[in-house]
Amino acid sequence: MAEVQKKVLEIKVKNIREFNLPYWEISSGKEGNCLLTTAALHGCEVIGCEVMRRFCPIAAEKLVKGKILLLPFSNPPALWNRRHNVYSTPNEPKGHGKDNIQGSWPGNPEGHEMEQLAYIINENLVKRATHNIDMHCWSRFMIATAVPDNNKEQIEFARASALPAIKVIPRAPKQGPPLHNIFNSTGRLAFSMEFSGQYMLSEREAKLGVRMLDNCSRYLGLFEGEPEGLEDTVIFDDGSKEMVTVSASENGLFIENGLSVGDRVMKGDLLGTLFSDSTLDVIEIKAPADGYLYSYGCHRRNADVDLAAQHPYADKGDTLAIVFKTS
Amino acid sequence: MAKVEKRIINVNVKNIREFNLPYWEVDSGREGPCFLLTAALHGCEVIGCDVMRRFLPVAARDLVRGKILLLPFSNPPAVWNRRHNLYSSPSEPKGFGKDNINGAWPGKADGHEVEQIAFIINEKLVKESTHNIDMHCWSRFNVACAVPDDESKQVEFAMAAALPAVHVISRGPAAKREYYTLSGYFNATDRLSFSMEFSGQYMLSERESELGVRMLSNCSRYIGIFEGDPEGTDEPSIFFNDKTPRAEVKAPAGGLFVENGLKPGDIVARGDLLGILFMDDSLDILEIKAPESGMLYSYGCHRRMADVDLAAQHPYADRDGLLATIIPTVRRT
Repeated sequence: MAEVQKKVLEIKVKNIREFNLPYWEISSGKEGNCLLTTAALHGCEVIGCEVMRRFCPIAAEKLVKGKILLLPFSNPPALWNRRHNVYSTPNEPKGHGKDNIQGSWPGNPEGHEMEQLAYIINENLVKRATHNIDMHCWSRFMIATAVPDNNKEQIEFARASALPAIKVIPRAPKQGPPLHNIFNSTGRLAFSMEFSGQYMLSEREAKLGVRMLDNCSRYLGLFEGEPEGLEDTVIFDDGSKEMVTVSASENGLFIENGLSVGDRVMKGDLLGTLFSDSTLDVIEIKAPADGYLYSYGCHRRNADVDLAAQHPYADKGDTLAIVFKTS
Repeated sequence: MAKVEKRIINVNVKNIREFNLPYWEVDSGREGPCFLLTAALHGCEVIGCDVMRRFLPVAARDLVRGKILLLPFSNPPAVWNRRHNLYSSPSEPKGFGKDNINGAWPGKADGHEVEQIAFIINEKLVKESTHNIDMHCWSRFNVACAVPDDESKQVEFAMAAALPAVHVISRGPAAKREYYTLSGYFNATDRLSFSMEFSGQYMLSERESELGVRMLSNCSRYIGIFEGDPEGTDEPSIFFNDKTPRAEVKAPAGGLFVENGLKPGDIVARGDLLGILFMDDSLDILEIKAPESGMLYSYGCHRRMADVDLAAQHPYADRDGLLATIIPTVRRT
């Protein structure tokens, strides 16, 4: 068994009450990589917190080289606000304002609240780490996805996660935020990822997350063995394959057909029905192509901040599903 | 098979574009009660719409006397707004403002928008009906529940639904008022009705739809328009009023409440693990156990406004935040 220590950073930044930032440090006692895992940099994205809680005993049992640093609650003030950022207000689109800690890396000891917090995490944890997985969440209508930059090493690291989807972002290398870029721009490997579901926990997502951390620890040589379940990555979106958006053909209540994001569908499969409020007619919505469900369920922009944007009543043209084509 | 007709009421009220209000009329061709079903009087409460869609062929098959009127989208302008009322704005507490149609019955021909809609529905459907079930939804943290007034006939009617919960409201002696809720208006005019709440707003749910279809079949049996007796009435249920003792399970400290795979309506025994609290300031874990045996009337960390604001559904609990409510079960019959 590796040694597990719970350590605490005492945080004192302006305009926010003093608080503790606890993390687990798991040491093999042997040289090796240092993997930092972070979650809840945005306060409504908490699935990664639970993933780390479950992963801690696994890491203690399996770690054979190097070290793992687990920081489940990376931005408690945003968590207490229970929204994206520390000062997000109800229904405010998440944006990239000064209170979004992801725009604050590597931080500034004299800066604003989030820059000060980022600075402390950077000095105490980020600088020590050789690798990072930064866990986020997007709306429950989207599939869990690793989001590496268009860089071969990052993509390979992300592939090891065996998440159901990988979306390659065509970003040019640059200095500065977000957190994964701080790593990648300093020659250290990292990727960020999105679980499916905000303001919630999910058994399915937590299991995906634990396997991701187990697999990526194997990939880095911290655990023995090879990553498992790699065949479960069914969507690899590097921009070369087609996504087909399924839109509502008219207004109505979209009644799903019991599918989930990531499910395999064949052209003509029933995705759901549209129940028209103006005629009571029912229109069958079918898959336009063979593929996998990248998104599923009627929703609109701002579904990550507004309940009404999650309402299953579709206007004509609203997105009901996105199929990642396989043929 | 009973005769099914789709009919349309053309609605033209002030400040809202002209629209159609379609409904199904299922007619046995024989004398009997006229049972009106309504849903989505509030725009974010749409499970009853799907329940009626599923119930229609059942009604066509099983109706032996009387008539059933199904109005799935009872207040389309609120559905288009995708919030509680016609003019509800983001995160606005639902309240009982002028735009809440459920305070506007029997409506008024020259009143404000929702009074005019209520007036039209009243003239075309409510007046003809002898019975009503008005389907609403509350937040997904609460169990599906019938909500009759404290009057024996209403309570019996609601019990026939075989929903997991019945919450009897003591409103006191009925006073004549200018406006009512829809079920209140039925009852004030000596016609049997109750309102009910499905579990979940802004969403549909297979489980809730199944409960709803059974409710409508059962209540159709109860009032004699289907043959047979209500089913599922021997299942564990809770039957309570505002004075019934209940165990509120609260967070002993701030932390993320990780549920233990339960759901509202599940039966728990004293000492069962409800979930754990994962504390952000220490990473310690606190087990949260059921302090009493009974049914989970509510389950999951949430706060006031969980029906209008995502943040109020967040699983991070402050100290003393509500995690579950347990009410002892009773035999329904």
